[in-house]
Amino acid sequence: MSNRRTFIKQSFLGGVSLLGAATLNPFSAAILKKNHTKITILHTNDVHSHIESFPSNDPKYPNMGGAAKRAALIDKIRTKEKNVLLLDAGDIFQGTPYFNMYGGELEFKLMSLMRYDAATIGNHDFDNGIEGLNNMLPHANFPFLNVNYDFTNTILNGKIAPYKVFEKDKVKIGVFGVGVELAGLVDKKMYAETQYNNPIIAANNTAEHLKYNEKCHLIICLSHLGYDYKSNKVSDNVLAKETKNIDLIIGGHTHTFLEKPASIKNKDNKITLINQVGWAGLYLGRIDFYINPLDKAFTSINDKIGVI
Amino acid sequence: MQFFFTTYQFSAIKKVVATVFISLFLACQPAVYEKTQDSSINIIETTTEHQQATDLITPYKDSLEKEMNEVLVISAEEFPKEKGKPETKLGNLVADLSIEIAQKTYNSNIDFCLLNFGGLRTSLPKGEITRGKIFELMPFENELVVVTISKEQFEHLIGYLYTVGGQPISKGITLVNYIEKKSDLIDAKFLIKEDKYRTEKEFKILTSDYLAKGGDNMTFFLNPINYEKVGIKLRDAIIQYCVEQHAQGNKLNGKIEGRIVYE
Repeated sequence: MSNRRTFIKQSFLGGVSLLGAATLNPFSAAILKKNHTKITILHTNDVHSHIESFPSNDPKYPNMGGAAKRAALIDKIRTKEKNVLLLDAGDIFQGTPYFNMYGGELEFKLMSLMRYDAATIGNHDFDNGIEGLNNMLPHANFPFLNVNYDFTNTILNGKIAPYKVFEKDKVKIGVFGVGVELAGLVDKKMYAETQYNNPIIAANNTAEHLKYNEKCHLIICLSHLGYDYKSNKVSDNVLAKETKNIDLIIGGHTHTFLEKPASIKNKDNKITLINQVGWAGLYLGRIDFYINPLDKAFTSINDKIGVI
Repeated sequence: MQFFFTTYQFSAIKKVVATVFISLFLACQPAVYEKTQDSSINIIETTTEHQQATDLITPYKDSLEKEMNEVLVISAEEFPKEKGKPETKLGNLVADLSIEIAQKTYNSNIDFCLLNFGGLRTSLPKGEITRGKIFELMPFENELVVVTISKEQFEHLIGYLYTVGGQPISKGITLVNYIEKKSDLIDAKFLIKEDKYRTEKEFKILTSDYLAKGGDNMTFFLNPINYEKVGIKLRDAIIQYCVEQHAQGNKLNGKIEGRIVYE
């Protein structure tokens, strides 16, 4: 149980000043729950072809991870929660011989079985070239989302959607994806004529569209930019600070284990959450939102988490 | 204007996880929180393997195991992963075969191959060498590249090899340490036996893309005159070499031949 205590303690490190305020009285909690729709966001990133659990003699992660266990966990959550959205932030490919032998087929089939709703594209998803990715797409029954790669002059043209809007109990959730700069990271032969565009501009435009045109209550960005850098390279932290209207960034690329979502003040001085759950399918991320879609005063979920 | 969110992270093994419940009433009320009833979910106890997922994986796993158990070549001796030696049989084997395979497709002459001991992750046993063993030896996806460097960068490379006490190099360069006394200063470094390294102005060195990007402190590879991909991963080069040797009826043989010598 010591793990649990540590976790709770750390969870509130950023909000110490609020701790003295009050504990929620059960009666208020009940009313809140009654008026709101609960949306359960589950997510992974950088699974890197880790189909099987780590072996029992692994020095770092003995018996951890494994797609069949993750599938069971997700199933269990689905039996309890009505409105689940299951998302992945890229680098599904590369890391075990499963990818070398089968090119990602099993990864996509398992994600389809688990009923992933959407994923974005990581740099390693180009490791068998853009054709390697294209050839695997028929095995995925979920969309790949990206707004800052231009695939016009590639075989992926028309196959990657910028965003998707999901509706759960009248709550509209807009999900889009951004990808890391490929030059220098991936061989040009592999990504071919894929053009990289500024992810901040693309994310801002998309989030604004999702909010005002698509009338989304919750806006989620799947990002393979990486959590944070010492240099001024664009990261999820930079993205959060430089954009408006994004409620949650689900990150990847840097294999960062966050104990709890980071809260960043965005360009509107509202809070954007960032979460990332390491790599290799060791963890399943979960964030539950409670949203009242009929609340007229509702403009953005950010309004409501601004005090964290 | 009410909102609250909860966060969880599930570890697939450790007891995880606290379910933390935060609720916020903006403006009108102070922030409040509570722990939910279901505050700890231990995955290893609460989840079994998903049957359909397991059924989906099984044929791939079986086929993969068969593939990984395939014997590529027989080794006449063990190639141990050794630390603290300037030259090892394993390092020589991989550096030599890298040149041999790379020169099949790379048109120009490569001076030598430089790799790193840290990148060779396991020993090769005497006897049957399986594909899986080569994946253990080289789990990374590193590619072979040819880096053309200047004489100045080359001197840094030799100085680096002296300082770190050796790294895997292919045949074609021989380094012997010597101590030069100049008045009060003692200058210890490598003497290169082959004349061409004193006369040439540029050097083509085969290495991995990881090292060429300055990995393992090989900073002399940064800002090269030229950088070319050979078009094959190091692991695939090893596999190709093993298969070719086996087809020719050869076993793997090791050699230590004084490529890097500290006298």
